[in-house]
Amino acid sequence: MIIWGSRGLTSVVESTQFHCPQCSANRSGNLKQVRNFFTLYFIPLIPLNVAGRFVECTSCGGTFAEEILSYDPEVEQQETNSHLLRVMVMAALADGQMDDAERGEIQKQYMELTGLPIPAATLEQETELAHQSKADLNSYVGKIAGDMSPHGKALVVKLAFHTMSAGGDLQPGHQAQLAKLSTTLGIPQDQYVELINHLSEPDPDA
Amino acid sequence: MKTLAWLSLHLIHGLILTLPTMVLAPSSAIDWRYIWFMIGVLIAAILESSSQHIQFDLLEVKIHDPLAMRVASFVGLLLLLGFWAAQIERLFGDSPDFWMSLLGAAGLAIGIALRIVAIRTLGKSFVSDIQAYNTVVRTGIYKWFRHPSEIGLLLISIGAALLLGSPHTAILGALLLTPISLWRMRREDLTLAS
Repeated sequence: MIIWGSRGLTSVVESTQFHCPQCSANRSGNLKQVRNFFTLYFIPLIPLNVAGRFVECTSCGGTFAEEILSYDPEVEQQETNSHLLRVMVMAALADGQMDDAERGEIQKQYMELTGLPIPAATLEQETELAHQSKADLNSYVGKIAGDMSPHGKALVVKLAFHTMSAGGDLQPGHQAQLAKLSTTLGIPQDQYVELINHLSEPDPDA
Repeated sequence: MKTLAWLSLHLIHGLILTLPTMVLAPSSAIDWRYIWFMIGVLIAAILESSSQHIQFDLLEVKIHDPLAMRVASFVGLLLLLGFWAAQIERLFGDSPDFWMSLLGAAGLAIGIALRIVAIRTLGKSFVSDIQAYNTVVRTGIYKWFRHPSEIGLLLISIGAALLLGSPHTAILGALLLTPISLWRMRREDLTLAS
């Protein structure tokens, strides 16, 4: 509206460093705020509400929700690694104990995932914590499955399956937990069966 | 409270609009032309204000065409300066011709009507930004005119100046605003075509 109207004006609240998901790197960005103004002849006269705030990357021009400022990929990666380690520990403990084959499998898979070895003390500590919590694999996965991508869900199944089958045939406790995992993760049954069949096939590289 | 704020804003508009007359004109110089000029422009603003919504959502205030918005800012300023210039010319110019004022009043009235019908037909889609929606509106006034609001704005600016008996301002306004309006129309057509 030319004579009488409202329009949003964007201003820079602060310039800051943040992890830009589009550049996949730390970049400088501007936290911007859009405020509506009452206008006469398109001239902003009276400030109204704040319509919103967003972060704009100065390198790629991408815009993101303000929450991106608190996003730290390293912290998130550590959290993910910690979740995946606990999934493997819970999977191993589904039959009530963790044997050496399972322990070895966890160390091997953790190395493949993160490129880092897992200290024996850390693994013992996680095992002890899992015992104390009295939580089982499905109750733990149920807590972390909310924001998980399909790829993340498949990874959880893969880690759990390989850990459980490290010592040979699956124990009844393993089978019971594995059977419930499709429901916990919300994976359709036919896809889940296919995934387990695929994981059961011998590794050609082994 | 809302009504009071609404009335206050229109009062502020009235004061801004008639600033040159209030500052420069002796009360004896104010005749029916001033009154109709002020009523006409205020009616245009009142009808605009009752036909629109204020954009409270970040998605809605996103600008699609920054250049079009800058041009709209320029047009807004030009329109206000034109209204002021018309009042100043009226004060210091020749005595106005009755038929010129009548022609101006008709132009102003038609311009207001065109803009209001356009605003009401488009509803939320009536914006100063240029953007393409999923469908091209071909209902209401858009069956006959592609750019009724642009033509309406031209008629308002030229008609208001003629109503006051300020032909030089009307000609200058037409010379400045017509190319801008034609540019906006062409840009809108290209955006819609894309």
